[in-house]
This record gives sequence, C-alpha cells and structure tokens, in this order.
Amino acid sequence: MNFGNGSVRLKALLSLGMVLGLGAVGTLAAWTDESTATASFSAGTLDLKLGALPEGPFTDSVALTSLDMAAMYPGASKAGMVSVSNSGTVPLSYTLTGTGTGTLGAALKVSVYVGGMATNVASTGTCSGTLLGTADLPLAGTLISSARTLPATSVESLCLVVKLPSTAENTLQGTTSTATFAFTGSMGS
Amino acid sequence: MRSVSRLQNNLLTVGAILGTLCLLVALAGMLLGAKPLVFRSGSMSPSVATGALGISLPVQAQEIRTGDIISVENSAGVRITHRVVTSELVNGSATVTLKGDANAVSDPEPYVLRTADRVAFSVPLVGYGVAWLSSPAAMFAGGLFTSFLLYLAFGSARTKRAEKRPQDPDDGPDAEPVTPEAARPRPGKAGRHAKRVTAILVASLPLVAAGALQTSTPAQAAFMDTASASAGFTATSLQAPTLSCTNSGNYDVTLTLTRPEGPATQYELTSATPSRTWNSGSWPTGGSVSYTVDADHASFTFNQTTNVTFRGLSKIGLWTSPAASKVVTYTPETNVLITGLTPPKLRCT
Repeated sequence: MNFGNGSVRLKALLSLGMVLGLGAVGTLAAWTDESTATASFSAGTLDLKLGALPEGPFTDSVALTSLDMAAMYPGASKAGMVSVSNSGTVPLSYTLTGTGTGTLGAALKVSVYVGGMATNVASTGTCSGTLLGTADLPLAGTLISSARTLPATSVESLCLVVKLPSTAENTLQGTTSTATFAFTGSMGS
Repeated sequence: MRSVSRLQNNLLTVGAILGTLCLLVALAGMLLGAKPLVFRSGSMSPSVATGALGISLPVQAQEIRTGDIISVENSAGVRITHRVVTSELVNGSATVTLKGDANAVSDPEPYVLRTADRVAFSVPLVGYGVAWLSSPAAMFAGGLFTSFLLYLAFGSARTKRAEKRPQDPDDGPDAEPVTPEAARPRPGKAGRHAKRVTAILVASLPLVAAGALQTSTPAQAAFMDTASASAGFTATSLQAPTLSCTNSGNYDVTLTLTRPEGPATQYELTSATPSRTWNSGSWPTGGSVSYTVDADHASFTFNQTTNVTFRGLSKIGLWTSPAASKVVTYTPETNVLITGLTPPKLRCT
C-alpha cells in the first residue's frame, strides 16, 4: 500500500477538476434552461371520454342523438348536450375540432357553450350556458381553440348548437351529413 | 491506522477516476451543446420509458429527419420530447409535427424550429436517479455523507494518529515529497493534509453532482387521448305548392296557390312565356293565395291561341321548391263580321 506523494497530488488535482467540471456544467445549464426538475413522475393515466348525459355512461365514441336533426332548412338549428369526462388520474386539457361529411357538412355552423341547458322550440335550438369563443363557427374546423382544463375524475357539460344558416344554397335540399366532434385531451397545463 | 489509510486511498482512486470521467464528459458536453433530459411520462414508450435519462445534441433545422426524437418547448412552455412525423423546411426553419410513440394522435400544434435538441441516446431508469439527486432527501443524505467523511478526515484520524504515530509505517512514504528533510520532523502531516482535502472534495461530490443535475431539463408529457361524438343531420326538401285554376267571369282566370307541408315561408306565381312574376309574398296564415290574371294584361302579346303555363313555387331563403304548373289557354282579340269585336280571353284547361 505504498502510495506516492505525486500520486496523491495527481488524484487530488483530478478530483478538484471533477468538482470544477460539474460546477461549470451546472452553471451553464442554469443559463440555458431555467426550468427545474420537480421530479414528479406521471405514472397516471390520461383518459378522455364522452357521454350524452352528465351522469354517463362515458365512452370513447358517443352518438349524440339529441343533436340529430332530420328536417333542416335555412335558419333551422338544433341544440344538444355532450358531457366531457376526465376518466383518468391526471388533469388534462382538451380542445375540440369538428368535421362534417358532404356539402351539408361544409355549410353547417356550430356554437359551443359551457354549462347551461339545451332548449329546442320548433326548429330553433338555444343553449343557456356561456358561449366559448365565437358563435356560428364552421363545423369543419376548430370549435374550441382555447384549451379547457379538466381535473382528474371530473365532468364538464357542453351545449352545442348546430345551425344551417339562412343563406344556405338551394342545392343543399335533401342532402345529409354526419358531423363528428373530435375531442383531443393532452396532459399538463 | 492502515485500514483507514487504505480506505482513504481507495476513495481517492475512485474520486480520481470519476473526476477524470466527469471532466471529460462535462467538457465534451459543453463543446457539443449536450443537454440531459429526464423523461417524466411514458408517451414515448416502449422506445423511451418513464424515468429514462436522455442526452440530446443540438441539430440545425435541415438536419431534422422523420423518425428522429427531438425535444422542443410548446407554446405553454412545457418541454415535449417526441418523434418527428412530418418535417417541412422553409427558409431554414422546419415546421415539425411530433407524435409520442404511445400516443394515438399527433401533438395538436406544429412546431416551427431553427434548431432542435435531438435525442442521441437514452438510458432507462437513470432519470429517476437524477431526479432523486435533486430531492431534499438526497441533499440531506449528501450532507450526512460529507459530515461523516469530514469526521474521518479530521476527527478520528487526528486523535488515533496522535496515539499511534510512532508505530505507523505508512506515514513516511505518504509525506510531502518535495522537501523530505523538512517534512521529517513532522512526519506525514502534509501528506495527511492532502488526503483530508481530497477526502473533503470527494465527499462534497454528491452535493455538487446534485446541484449540476438539478438543472436537467424535464422532458414532459403530452400523453394524449381522443374521444369523439357524432350526430346526423339531414336537410329537408321543399315540396311544391298546389296550384288550381278557376275561370273568373268570361275573360279572366283566378289561380290559387295552397301552401304545402314544410318550412317554406314565401310563395311565387310565375310564367315562363311570357316571362313574368305575377305575384309573390309571404304565405298567409290561412295557407292559400288567390290571384286573378287579367287577359287584357300587356304581357300577352300573342296573335293566335296559345297555351300559357303558370308555375307556383314555395320558397325559404335561397331554397326553391319544385314548381306546380297549370296550363291556361289564351285567345287573342278577334274581329268577326257578325258578332263584332271579341276581347282577348284566358280559360282554364
């Protein structure tokens, strides 16, 4: 066990270099990126589901029969409710985009309300909730652009009004469309 | 005393090896722009599992390839590390769509990048260790460890050494080498001092390492899920109104339009030849509208007996129903010798 003095000094110097090196990296990293590791690992699940009723059942794909409309004409509208459920264990934020088949799908307009109730009198549907964004957005496009946050195991009710504008083209008579409302949930803020 | 010495020397050796490695890695990292990434979610599993530590290197936009795993910050400031699905290069910046391997859909927003951090490799589970190092528990453990080594270096060594110095054979060779003569009167003191300093440095390593790794960038998130709702819509078709004709007096006709079922709000009575809209307006409450066509009307310029087709329409907005039609015979003015002048007339057919 004979360690020479040069060896000790060299080892000490190398150890010192290690401290300096790590210190430099730390300082450099702090400048590059100021976010800190909070070490909160997410073993949780992200699960977005929809239901036709606030009490469920909630599934990945739901037919909103209350929103169906069989005899639309220029100026006619229909209101219906959909419940968005965070069935996972972590908070999520969601957005909504719509698509519609056929020329009728391209003509339909949608207004999205949060909360409230859907009321349909004759061929006019109204929602009593708070309007999200702009009214009468084209069905084919972004319907909720500002993501809505939903805590784990909570449910939010949306009211949708689908309208055929009074300026609808004559050629739309007798056409049909299936509207699809795609909710995309993502984890985090 | 020999055992303590051996332990110190072993620690020094380990510290020296680690130190060299750290120095080289840190230097290389600084030169290459490497960045440590801790994966906090399983959105890239199974290729990169939760808790993995990835090392990224900066690349230019034009070097981004489909299939690369790159790390970016989204508009909310959350760092996302996902695989490139599409990349489009315009004027040196790439518009990139990313998707986590475990996600069914791509990230909602495309990212516009001039440079990106591309993950060079990743090591499973190490991220947990890195994250743990920056936790208060690890700091506390590091502090305890440091205190223990300080106690070994200064506390126990000095007292034991004071008692055992005469018998200690290790002191001589460990002493200050430059001036052995000067060191001899106080054998081993400088050497022991060097060892203690080194021990302190080695002991403080965990703290320094924790401090350096605390700045590791958390590669979060974006587990995604989708759900969809559908509804069916059918536009109605307007129905034609009913159109009836009755003779009015000896010369004129009265056309009656009756509102059909459906949403139409307007009616219209037209003819193609002559081209004219005879009457139009909102459907009245009763649902039917009558209009008498005068045979003397200037529109009728025929000089022989002609069938005129009247059309009844039901309308709403830009929508028009199919037409209901009725044929009416027009007979122009005649001048017969015996009966004299006969005015023009319209008769239902």
